[in-house]
Amino acid sequence: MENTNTAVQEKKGKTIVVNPVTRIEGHGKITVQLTEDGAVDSARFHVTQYRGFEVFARGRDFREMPVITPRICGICPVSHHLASAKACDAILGVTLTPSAAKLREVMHMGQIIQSHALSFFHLSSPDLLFGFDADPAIRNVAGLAQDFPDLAVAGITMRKFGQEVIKTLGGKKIHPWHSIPGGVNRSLFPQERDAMLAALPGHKENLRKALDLVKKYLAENADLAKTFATLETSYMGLVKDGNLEMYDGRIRLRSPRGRITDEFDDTDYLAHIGEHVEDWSYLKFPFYRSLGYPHGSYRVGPLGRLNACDDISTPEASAELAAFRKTTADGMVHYTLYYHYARLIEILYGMERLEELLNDPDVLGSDLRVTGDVTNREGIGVVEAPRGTLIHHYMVDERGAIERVNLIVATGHNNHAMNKGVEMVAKEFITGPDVKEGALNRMEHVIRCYDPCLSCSTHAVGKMPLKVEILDSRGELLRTVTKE
Amino acid sequence: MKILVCGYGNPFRTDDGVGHILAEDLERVLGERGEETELSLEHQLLPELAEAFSRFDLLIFCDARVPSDDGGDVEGYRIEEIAPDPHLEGLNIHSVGPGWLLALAQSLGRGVPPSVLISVEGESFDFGDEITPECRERMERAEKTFLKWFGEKYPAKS
Repeated sequence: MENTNTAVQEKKGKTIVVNPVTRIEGHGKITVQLTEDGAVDSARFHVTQYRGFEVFARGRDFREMPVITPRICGICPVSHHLASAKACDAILGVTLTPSAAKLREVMHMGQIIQSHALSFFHLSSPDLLFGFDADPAIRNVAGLAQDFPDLAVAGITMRKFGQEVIKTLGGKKIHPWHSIPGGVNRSLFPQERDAMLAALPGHKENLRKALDLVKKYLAENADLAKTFATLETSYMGLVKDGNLEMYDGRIRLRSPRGRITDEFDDTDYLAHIGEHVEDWSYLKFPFYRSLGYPHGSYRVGPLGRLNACDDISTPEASAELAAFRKTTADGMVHYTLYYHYARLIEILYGMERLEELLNDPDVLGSDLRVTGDVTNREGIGVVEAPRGTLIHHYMVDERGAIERVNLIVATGHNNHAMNKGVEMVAKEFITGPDVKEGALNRMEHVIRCYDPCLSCSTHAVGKMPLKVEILDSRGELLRTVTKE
Repeated sequence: MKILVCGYGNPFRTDDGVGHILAEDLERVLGERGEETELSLEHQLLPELAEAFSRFDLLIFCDARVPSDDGGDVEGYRIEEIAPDPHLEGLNIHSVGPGWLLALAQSLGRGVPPSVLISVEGESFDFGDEITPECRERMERAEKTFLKWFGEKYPAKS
């Protein structure tokens, strides 16, 4: 049994269902399929929620979409807000003013900082510092505060800083309203800019300490770090002149061996990215069309972006990227646990890029909006959300009413990899109806590495809602384990 | 004195928004009384709030509550002085209570000022952005009782 709060229901036959509940909200369910001799044949990570945004947005005026779609998520609403606004810009056929483009990016950097800080400090670092098998009552941000108060303060204040950046421009930390089709609705006051600039050095210093901590952990736990759910995959992310890009770039795919497989305009995504559907999950499985599914599956998010890009445009993050790549012989980092390391490098980039933007006088400018009417019947907006490449695609009628919506959310790109990672743990820890100590916590951490949005990217402290079923070779349920 | 008035809940779920309304009211009334007040309106209590607690002399949390049959809701509201409580019900960031935040602030080495939770019983938690008349009436009584308590505990400086 995993924990005292794990309930196991055994049934006749050969099936196990496990419902651990930890640190991602929205229930994920895992089904483990056994072979005739009781070995694990495959594992599936199901997402059982249905949101329906693509359907109920039909008929709405496209200008409403930057306000409607952020409700998809409470953690990265800014990403949906920006991708949506970009799609609307395309429908209007306008090019943003320099002030508007930079102000959008300011908010985006606030989002990257706060979301990544939440993922690492609040949710993942307790697993690393206390161990996967520590009591969930301790393995959370409160436990962190007790035993590592400096790190907890660093994480909490860093996330708060990112949220304040968002709130300053968008009025609210969650579901802000700043971007409008063709621009933004406000710029920064000098005192707001100065306050952000004054706070950055302290957060950077804290981030450096967190980076040291992660590097030390990965070095001291090298065997685990290099084998834990490690997969050799392709990687995808936005790049601009080859550099890491979060707001506006070309989509690049890089092969497991480091070759650039493809690079294309984000508006061409449909020609290159397909979506595979399985009847056991509401989350689709995007893939690179030329290679088909599942061979064309790839990974996104921090590890995906750092593998896809050539370099990072800001100096300190660039140096960290170089050190990151030196951890492997060919510079391609396939270790899943290194998602955390990559996430911290991206926070550093976010802080450096934010500093660059804040020092640009355009962020105080007043030329914020380009007006227009429906010029194009189709608009595509792509940004890098904290968890990976986010695509909004709208089709409208001549008045601007939405006719069709296609959303590819970041978590979907990693769907195949999450399934494979969970399967690797299952193969190591499950034989027949027996579930070895630690299996559920490790499955949980595989998923947490990807920091997925399941129902709406909400997060729980110390818990991850999951359901794992173990089926025998005939597909009959063997066992159900529930971790409440 | 410096007071943080924190209302939390979902203002789009009718009476779940009572914490926001009550907090705004209290912030105004206490401000008129000459207190230095700061208002914080949240959907949920999150760890980031705890970091700032030490800046205040008093924390006032305002929330909605579901009816309970434990005999404590005779008036339709509760006013409780609360202390740090590390117990995290359900380990869910969306159900963190103010006591857990106080415990977090304590663990972070931050000061924990006296804290009060005012919780008002809701009638309906359906979709809607207005609270029910029943809930409003309870809220007004809760506010009156709290202000009486506050005036006795912290007499106004003349």
